[in-house]
Amino acid sequence: MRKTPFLNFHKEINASIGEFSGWTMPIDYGDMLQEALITRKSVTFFDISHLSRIVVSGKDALNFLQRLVARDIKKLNVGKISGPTAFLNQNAGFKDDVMVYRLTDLVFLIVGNAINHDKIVDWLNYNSSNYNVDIKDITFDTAMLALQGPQSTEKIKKKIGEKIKNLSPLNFLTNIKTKYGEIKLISYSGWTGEAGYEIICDIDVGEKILRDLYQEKILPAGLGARDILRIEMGYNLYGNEINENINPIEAKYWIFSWKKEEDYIGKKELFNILKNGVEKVKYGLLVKKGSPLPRKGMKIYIEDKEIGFITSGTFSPLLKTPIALGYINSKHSILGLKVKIFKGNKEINAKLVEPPFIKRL
Amino acid sequence: MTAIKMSESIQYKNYILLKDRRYQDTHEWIKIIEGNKVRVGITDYAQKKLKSIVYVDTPEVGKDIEKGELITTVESVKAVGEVISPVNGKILSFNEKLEDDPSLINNDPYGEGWIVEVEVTNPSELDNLLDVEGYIEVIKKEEEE
Repeated sequence: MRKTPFLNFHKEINASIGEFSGWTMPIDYGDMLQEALITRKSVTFFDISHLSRIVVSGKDALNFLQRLVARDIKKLNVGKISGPTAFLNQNAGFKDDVMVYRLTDLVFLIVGNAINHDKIVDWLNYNSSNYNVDIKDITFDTAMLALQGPQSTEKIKKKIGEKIKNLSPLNFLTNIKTKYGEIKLISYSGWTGEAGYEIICDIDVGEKILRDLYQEKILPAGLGARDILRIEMGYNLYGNEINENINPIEAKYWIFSWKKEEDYIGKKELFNILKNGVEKVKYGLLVKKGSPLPRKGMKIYIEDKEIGFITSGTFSPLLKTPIALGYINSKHSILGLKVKIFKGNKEINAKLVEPPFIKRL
Repeated sequence: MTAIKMSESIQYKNYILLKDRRYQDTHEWIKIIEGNKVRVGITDYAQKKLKSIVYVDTPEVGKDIEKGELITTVESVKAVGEVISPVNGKILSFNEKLEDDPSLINNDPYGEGWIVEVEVTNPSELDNLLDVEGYIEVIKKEEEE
């Protein structure tokens, strides 16, 4: 079992510790609904050290990644993040959805899902034989933290200084001298729909930052809140909305560049799928207030006809109602369609909507 | 925690237990209101394990229930908890406040967060349930696992 390097700190501040993607890490600090709300209203910090961080460098780094990810990264400037992209398999299914950071002309950082860490390290190595590249896994030698919420900009400026003043979405800075020591990278991206910053640093520096944020009365938020926040935005979670058998078109997940000239793994099939259409598409399900929660795997019906299934369900503390994500057979892909989800003998009423469930940014 | 009204409370680890009621090993409490009428809810330990409760299923009022039978379910974001009847009897009422605010169970599991009132067939059944010490043993066992 892998574990966050800050497990002791989380225990000190009474986190509920659980397991996710093979990592022992904080799930919440008592009330995940409240943590999600505070993130929306002000600011929280997260330990996201479980995310995989892999550095690809070398003479062929650009060509190598162009061959593996679906987005065109040749025009990606140094100091910029690609926006969500993915490693696809030959069938255009998701191997992993990732962010690509261009550190220098020939050095890239890939941040991906913990659950796919080993698979992606293998995938990169397996595909690298004809390329002059070096693949370095820094996941376990570094920490990754995040500040999320409308007050995150103000807080991070206060902590790190005016250097980050000009950081705009999908931009990052490297090697920043701070009172905690050197921070390797600060980026502005986020997964909550709010302003958000991610920090990559050495573990001892990370511990200092965490303790300082906590002392400053910034509240921690765990993986439970992270899940609620991403479902509110309709963002996909690997293993739920996306996997090796789901393609970006079904998921309405625009991780590829339409005009990318270079060939990449999965490209041919991706454009075949675009031409031929898909069998199912992703929707949000806005559930009637006061209903039980839809859960992953539950089936979606119109009358007695099964038309889809749930991939994630939660309760939105902001909307005060259950919400869910799922797939609907293309024939029933009708926005606003009223559907039912059966939970045992209970019927949950819901409506097909296009996420995000909440309007932000 | 010293402010709990009218009832002596005991704290085991982070969990509050009240001396004025009985417990079942599936984490329900039961307390006599008057005569044969009792209230049933889930314990502080149970609500802390479930965390933020967002839904309580409305049980069938008027229904006869047996000890061990499912009264209703309580859901949080991450889990579904079952409320199992600690006695034989009939469901008299459901705490309808829970329909609007299921978090009452988190905020006040032994008071405002009660779940159902039951008419007990035989109040002496309560004598067979766990007292505070007995229930602490149940928690201890589960915490070890």
